[in-house]
Amino acid sequence: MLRPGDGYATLLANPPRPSWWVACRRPLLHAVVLGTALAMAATRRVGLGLVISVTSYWSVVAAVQWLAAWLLIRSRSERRLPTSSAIDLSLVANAPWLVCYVLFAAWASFPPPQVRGGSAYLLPLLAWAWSARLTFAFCRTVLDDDRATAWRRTAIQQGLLLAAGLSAASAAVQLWPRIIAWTTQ
Amino acid sequence: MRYARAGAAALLAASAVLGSMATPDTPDRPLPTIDGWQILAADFHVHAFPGDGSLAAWDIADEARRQGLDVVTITNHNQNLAARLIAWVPQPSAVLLIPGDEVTAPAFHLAVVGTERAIDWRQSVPVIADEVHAQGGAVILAHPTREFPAAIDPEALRAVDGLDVAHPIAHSGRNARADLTGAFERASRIHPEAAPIGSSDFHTTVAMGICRTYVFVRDRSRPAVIDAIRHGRTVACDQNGRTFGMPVFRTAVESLCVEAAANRRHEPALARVARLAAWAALVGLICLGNGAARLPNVRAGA
Repeated sequence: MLRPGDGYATLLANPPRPSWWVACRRPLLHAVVLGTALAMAATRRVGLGLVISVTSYWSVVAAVQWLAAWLLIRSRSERRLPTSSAIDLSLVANAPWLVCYVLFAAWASFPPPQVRGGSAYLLPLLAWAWSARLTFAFCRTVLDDDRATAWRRTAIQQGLLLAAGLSAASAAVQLWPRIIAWTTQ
Repeated sequence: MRYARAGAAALLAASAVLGSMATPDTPDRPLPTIDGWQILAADFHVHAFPGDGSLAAWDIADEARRQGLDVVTITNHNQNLAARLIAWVPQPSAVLLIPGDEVTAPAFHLAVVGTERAIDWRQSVPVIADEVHAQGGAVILAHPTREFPAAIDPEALRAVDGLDVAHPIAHSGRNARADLTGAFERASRIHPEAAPIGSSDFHTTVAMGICRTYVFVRDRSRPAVIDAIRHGRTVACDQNGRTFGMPVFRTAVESLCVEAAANRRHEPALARVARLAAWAALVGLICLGNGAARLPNVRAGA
């Protein structure tokens, strides 16, 4: 992940064979890691029913990531790889989010509730920046974009993901009344 | 590598099974009673999925039961979509799930209990309280700290049925704790039946029921719970086992509050092992099951 261009070149040299499983395996991993991490953080326990249940409804996040990868790949008319293989390689860029979830689960579920400290809010920011860097490498290497096109494609895809994430979060926490409060106090 | 990945997946499955065994179904416990009143443990401020909570209604019911709660209100910010999922929870459930929402306005947050329709936040506290009462619900001034002007507004304090006096925010600093008790004292002078409330404001990381409310009811039903809030038959319980409320009610639940705090600190060793194993399995799955994790060590053509 530190030299994503080299890594992607290696993966491209031996790409996964196209199949529906190849297109779905990383979203599945994403959903399982997110679901388990949230179950652990929320209840400080793991249980089969709980993990399956939380994973099922939070898999919407993995589905959105899958959709974003599909759109990114379909935005290129000439492709070096079949769509499912390209989606698989594109979703490698989600690895920073998986690391983020696991660190969050550790932060939230291991210390006693009263001594959880520090700020976990920087983690998503780092994950997003790192993921964008990997997506850029994907565009350069797998989609064979020139530098400017790769930046543009990465910016559009990550911008859309960020906008979707922020919109959902803003609606969930009702950001607008809070902004009014911050600006009027 | 493939075997290592399969091993990590198997470890995750095994830890989930182990975790299930470590936390068996909580048996129905007899409700404590005093002078004909049943005492229910409630958390009136819980966020759920979809929204900014991490668990959906049916998982909230399970977690509430594990935390020894009898009543939970699902209160998402200015919407009741998640609360409507209560209909998906198998009934009768051991936990009484009550729909509601957290009316989130610039000057106040109100935990609304027992409403079917979301309340418009662009109204004053008294108007909202009237609307909630018309729907058969109750209104709680949530975490009334100094950043919310309603905490010192006599009209708002007169209109609400109860106020958070035990809330995890109290442990974020001396000011917050003083703010909560100060707001409750002001409200009690204006409105002697104001109900002391303890709530967790559960989203993800703070345990559900860490602060809770004991309500004194004639029967285990939604109208009875709302009636208890509206008539101040409650005791707030904080995460350290401290109680707030009328002495006659506090005496009845002091031991329950201390016991709840002690139960939270106790965790079976098997559950801890399962959690650690699950976490290790996740790390394994990421490192072994994701090409990206192998990227640092590879070079083009290697």
